Amino acid sequence: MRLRALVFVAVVIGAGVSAPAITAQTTELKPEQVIDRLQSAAQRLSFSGTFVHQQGPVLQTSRILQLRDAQRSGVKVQALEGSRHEIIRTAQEIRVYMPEHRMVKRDRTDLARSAFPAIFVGTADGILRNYELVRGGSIRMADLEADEYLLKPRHDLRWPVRFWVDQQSGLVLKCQRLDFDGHAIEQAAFTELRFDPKVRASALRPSFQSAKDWTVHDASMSRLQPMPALRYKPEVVKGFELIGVYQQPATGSEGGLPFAVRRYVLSDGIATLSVFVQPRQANGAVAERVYRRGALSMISREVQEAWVTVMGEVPPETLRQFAQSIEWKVSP
Amino acid sequence: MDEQKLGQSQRAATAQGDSEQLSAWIDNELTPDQGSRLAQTVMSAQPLRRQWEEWHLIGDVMRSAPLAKPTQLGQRISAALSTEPIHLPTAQSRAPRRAIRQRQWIYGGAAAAAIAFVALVTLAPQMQDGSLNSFLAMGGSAPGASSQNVAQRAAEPAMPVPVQDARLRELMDAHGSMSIRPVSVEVR
Repeated sequence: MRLRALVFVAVVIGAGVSAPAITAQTTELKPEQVIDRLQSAAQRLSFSGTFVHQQGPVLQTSRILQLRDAQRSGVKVQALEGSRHEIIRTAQEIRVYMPEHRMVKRDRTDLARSAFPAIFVGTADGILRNYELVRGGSIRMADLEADEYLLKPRHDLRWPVRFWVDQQSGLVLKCQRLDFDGHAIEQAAFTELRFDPKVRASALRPSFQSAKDWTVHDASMSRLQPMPALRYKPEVVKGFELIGVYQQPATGSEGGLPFAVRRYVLSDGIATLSVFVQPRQANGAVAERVYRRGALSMISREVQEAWVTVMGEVPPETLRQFAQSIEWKVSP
Repeated sequence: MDEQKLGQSQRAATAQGDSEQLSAWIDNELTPDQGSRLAQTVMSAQPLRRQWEEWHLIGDVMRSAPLAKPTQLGQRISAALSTEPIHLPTAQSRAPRRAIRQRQWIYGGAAAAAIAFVALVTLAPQMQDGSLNSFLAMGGSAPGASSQNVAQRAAEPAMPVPVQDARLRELMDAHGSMSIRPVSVEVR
């Protein structure tokens, strides 16, 4: 326990911070105001820092730069461990630079509005329909004074979420998905944070000089409007709504399916469920049993001529019931 | 209790006593006289001598970052630790509780360091903090939680993800995580 404490102290030592001039009497805020405030801060503020993200046994440290001003708007994330990949997100697209493969993965699927940490994905109303906001105390986090909150699920078999918000700026400094014993199974936390960083105009460009010569792999999917329905039993995932359907066009070898891959996205405002439907010959991803990595559970099933892979930040049993309730037909 | 069992019990008690003395000696908790007598015992008793060497190796690993790699040395220490009896404090034990706790901590710490230092870092952020601890400990995070159904839910089996699968990796990237979520999601 002492060693854990020492390592934890080493991780959370932060740098000097000049807090932006956004203040609020946070103790008087209503639940919807708390969520509105943190979502607004995540979208509006410019900052640079270092954060750790842990998913199950995997811990990744990354540097993050978010710029929001009249001239520039974007986020750059650089991995500080292992591969030197970089992710640059602008209003139009996400680009993942993978120097070891000399490849850029481009995703223009949708406007990327979920700011870091990408956990409060729904509106305040949507979130509070499915979770109760419980206020905790105040504690120092990343060298800043933070308020502690818990999102307690209103429905059975969902992961609770615990998070800490900077009192001054409203930015989320740390958040955790918890198991039913209250242990963190996925978490992200700033270890260093500076607001309004003074950076060059080129700061949001890739760090690799030769990146313009790399192979570009387009992983974009088209949004389908109106959304085709997904047949499943809504009672097994109460509170989740279908919020988007995306697909990549068929290449001709799909064996009857009119697309290469289709993705249905459902969310309860905090957790998301993805249902990927692929041709059966493209199987081999995961077998018909539940796998889990931190808060993320996943399962693949053969349904008629398709392989259906389901993943989401819900407990394995919830995912299993949801996946088993899905019906798929090429021509419904 | 017959004579044979009594003899075994006495030998076991002596071995445990020697082991605790050895720990105390390494921690500089013995007088010079006691240390001198134990040194003779250690050098003449092969199991104690091996234990002494291994405990010092563990200490070396704790102090030396380059040694904290998954090497043959680490495997050997790990194997040694897996068979090493942990001397839990008993009512009869005369060793100070604090010293025993320290040694147990060193065993665990050295084993983890020798196997993979990263594992320790991974565990570190799970330390809970803040005033919601007591709320969470009472199952307050789950709807209608009771200690029994919370325990049942936690027991759901699931395999670790085979993340080396490129196709699955692609789907996981598309799904996103706390770090980044490629597709905007909004409940309307």
